[in-house]
Parts: sequence; C-alpha cells; structure tokens
Amino acid sequence: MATGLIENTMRQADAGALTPEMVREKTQMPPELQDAYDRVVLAGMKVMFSKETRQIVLKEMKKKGSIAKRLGEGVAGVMLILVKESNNTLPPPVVIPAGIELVAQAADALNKIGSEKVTTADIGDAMEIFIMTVLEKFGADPKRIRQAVSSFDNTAVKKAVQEVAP
Amino acid sequence: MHPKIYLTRAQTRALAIDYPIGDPTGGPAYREMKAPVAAVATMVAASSSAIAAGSLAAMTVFQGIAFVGGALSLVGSLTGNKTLSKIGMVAGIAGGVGALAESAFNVSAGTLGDVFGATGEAAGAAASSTAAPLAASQAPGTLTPVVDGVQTFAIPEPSAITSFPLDSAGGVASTSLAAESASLAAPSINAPAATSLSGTSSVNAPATPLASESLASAPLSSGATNATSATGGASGASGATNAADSSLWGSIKDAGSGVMEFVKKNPEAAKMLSGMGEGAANWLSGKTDAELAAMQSQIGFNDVRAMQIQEQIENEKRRRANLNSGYTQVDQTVRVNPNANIQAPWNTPQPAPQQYTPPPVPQQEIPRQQIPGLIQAAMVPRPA
Repeated sequence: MATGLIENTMRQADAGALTPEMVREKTQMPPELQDAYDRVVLAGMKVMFSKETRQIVLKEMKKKGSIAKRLGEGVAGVMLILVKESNNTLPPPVVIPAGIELVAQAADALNKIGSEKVTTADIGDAMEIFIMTVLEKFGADPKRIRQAVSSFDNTAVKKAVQEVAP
Repeated sequence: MHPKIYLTRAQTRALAIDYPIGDPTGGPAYREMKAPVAAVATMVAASSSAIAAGSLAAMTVFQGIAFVGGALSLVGSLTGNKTLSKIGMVAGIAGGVGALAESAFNVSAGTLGDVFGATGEAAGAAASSTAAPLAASQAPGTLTPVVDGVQTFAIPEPSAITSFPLDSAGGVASTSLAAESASLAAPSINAPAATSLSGTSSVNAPATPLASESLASAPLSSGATNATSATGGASGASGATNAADSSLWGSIKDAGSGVMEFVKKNPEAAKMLSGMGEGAANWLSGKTDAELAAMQSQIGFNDVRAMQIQEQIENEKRRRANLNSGYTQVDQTVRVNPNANIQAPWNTPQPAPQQYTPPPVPQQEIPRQQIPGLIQAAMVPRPA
C-alpha cells in the first residue's frame, strides 16, 4: 500500500532516533512522585541488566513472537514483579511512566548488545503493548481503551473547550 | 470600640460543623489545587459504592498516563504509532485521562463520562461486573500504606504474563529467576532508607496486614474471565456500550445534559467541576443567593452528576442559613428534591437576577450581662 513520504520517513528503521534520555526528558512526574519514579526505574534496570539476572531476561526475550510483543510483555512482567516485591508500597501512578522508560532502556540495550535489532517502530509498539498489558492486569479492558482512543476526535474536543472557556 | 461578642461552646461547636476552628487548611480562604484526574478518582470513589477498591487503584494507574503524555506523543510521532499519539493527546486534555479511565472500566453515569457524552444506559451497563479482579480477594476498605502522599492499594498478581509465569503462591515459577529476583529485589527494594522504593522505612511495614496472600487464591485470570463473560453475556448492553464509545468524543458538544448547558453558561464552573469535592465549596461561597438560585434552575435534576452539584449548592445554602441565624439553631441536613419539575432554562427567557441585600447589622450593642459566656461567668464576683 502506497504511503506518504513523511510517513515512510517516520517509520524507517532508525534505532538511534529514540533514546531513553528523550523519553525521560518528556516525562513530567510531580515532585512527590519523582523520587519513587527514579527508584523504580533503577530497580527495574537492576533486574534487567544485573549480572545475576540479565541472562535470564535475555532468555525470556528470545522466545517466540515479535520483538515488540516480547519487549512490551517482558517489561510489564518486570514492573508487576517489582510491585509485588515491594509489598504493594509502589505508588500505582509510577507504574506506567517507569515502564515506558524501561522499555526504551531495554530496546537501547538490545541494540547496543547487537543480539537483536529493535527499530523505532518496534519501540512504539512495545510501549503500546506494555500499557495495554499493565492496564489489563489492573482490570481495564484494552479493547474498550483502543475503541475509545480510535474514536477520539480532536476537533470536537477543541471546539468544546473553546465553548466552555472562551 | 468594637463590641466583643463571646460565643458559647455550643455555638463554637455549631460553627465548627462548617469550618473547623483552628484548622489552618479549612474554610473558604484555603484552596487545594489538584489535578483533574486525581479529582476524578476521588469523586468516583465517593460517589459510587459499586466500585471496589481495586478499581480505584486501577484508575490511579491511569493517572500515570497523564504524566507521560508528552513522551507518548513524542514516541507516537517518531514511530508513527497512532494509538500512542492519541493517548498522548488525551493525556494533554484536562479530564481526558479520567474520561478514558471511565471508558476502560465502564463506570456508570454521574461522572465526567456524562459530560463527554456517554449515556447513562450504555455507560452503566454491567458496571459492577467489570470491577477489578481484586474485588473477589480483598475486602473493601482494606487499609494500605500511604507512600509519598499517595494512597496505595493491593496490586493484582502478575500471574498471567507469559514471559514470567508465576506459581499458585504468587512467586515466580522459574526457579533461577525467582531465586535471583528474591535475593536482588528484596534487599534493594524493601531495604529502608536509600534503596527503598518508598524512601521511608516505616512504610515498608504497613500498619495493617495486606491481602497479598489472599490475592494468590484469586488469580487474575479468573477475575478477567468473569469480567469478559459478564460483558459478553449482556450482548445488548455490550452493543450499546460500543456505540457509546464510538460517540464518546464526537458527542461532547451535543451532550445535551443539564450539566453541559450549565457549564456553557458558567465558564468558571468548568474549574469547579474539575475540582469537585475540593474546590466546590470555596467556589460556591463566593456566589450570591441569586446566582445560586440561577445555577439550581439551570442544572436541573437530569442525572446523578446534576444531583451532586445540587447537593453542593444546597449545602452552601444551608451553611448560609446557619450563619445568618448566628448558629443559635443549626440545621445539619441537606435536602435535595429530585422530583422538582424544572423547565429547561435555555429555552425560556431568564429572569433578571435579584440584587443581594446583606442582612442589617444590629446597631444596638448587646448588653454584656445578657451574654452567657464562660469568661463572663468567671468574672462574676465570688460571695464573701
């Protein structure tokens, strides 16, 4: 299917276009959660990259399925394990932001190791899978989320906002 | 010289019903600013008894999406992922994440879902059946520790992740991963001070035992299955729900509810609605009696959301009545008449608002000997 030049350019396999630093810079955590966010990301990276556990994580990553699915579900599993191991003291609002950064970190590590090539598009798909997996584990319906998001029309919202607050 | 009026203890206690004396954070002068999503989460928990504690935890998880809206928009634009781009856009709208969360959990009418067009019938279909899986394993109201000022709740077992299968007890099934994660995660996460996630050692020892053990007996998959089967069984409601979702955003300007019309006529009310429960009392205290009456006639009693606003207005009117009577007689009840027949005000000409006339200030000084105050009683000379 023919696509536009801009869309083609956006979806090109450019592993260096999206870095974990860019994701972290765009994440705006409130001050009261910033400390917990940093700790969760650090703990997640310890689980994924430490000498004791990285081979196991890599082994999980080599299972069947697309790289985006394995990456997204893998990071979701790491986050939920962290929540469980923290005796439910991990603030729920930190789960998704920390997981988003961990997905970027894991993709960057895989590219640097060279074991598998993770494209920018794969990172985006992995983040989407991560969000849907985590929300599903908390009782949300991913189908309804996708349905609501797909039917989102920004023009109606902008018009309504202008009517409410001129 | 201004006359000094001493209040009795009964009058002080009566006044404290509305504004606690000595509380620096109480009263109309104090405003607590909260993000719309937090207000939505608080409002949903207070308004609907059908939502279990697990659902509130899940909606708190949704709050995290609001923090990464910019990052998701960036990733969506770089990767061409439209879902991430739209989620990022939703996160950038005040109350957008709350509405998305309501759609995801099929929360019933009476919340921002009404404002965004989800009808009561479709949005309320099988609301209780989609309660979080935790509802089966955790009693409502179970105390959980507060971490960094955020109330935490029981988290579901990560048992259904294919990459990290867990055993029935909730531990990681893979022995090597279990051993390594237990040895690695325990000292780094649960250790106090520097390496603990909470940052305070006291939080790691919750005051009440959590239901983590009971969570293992109610695996996540069963709860999800129940939710799915309940949703699938009600095919008519499911179809109506899908239709409501498709028009969730498109019908925002045509919601037609009394609340939306009220918001259009009162732009400031959008701020009140976003901070419902927290800023509503402060906002209403600055309105005249005529403005309160006009608001009541505009809102009507169409839905639960309108009823909530009516209750807030009635509470303000009750407070003013108590204040005007000098708190000699305190009315603690709030009466909202849902059967009131109120015409749609946007189709009829509005009457001119009445001028508010403050009550006359008493000119006569109250004789001191008629005030039954504690100090006065103490100043009575003792008999020789």
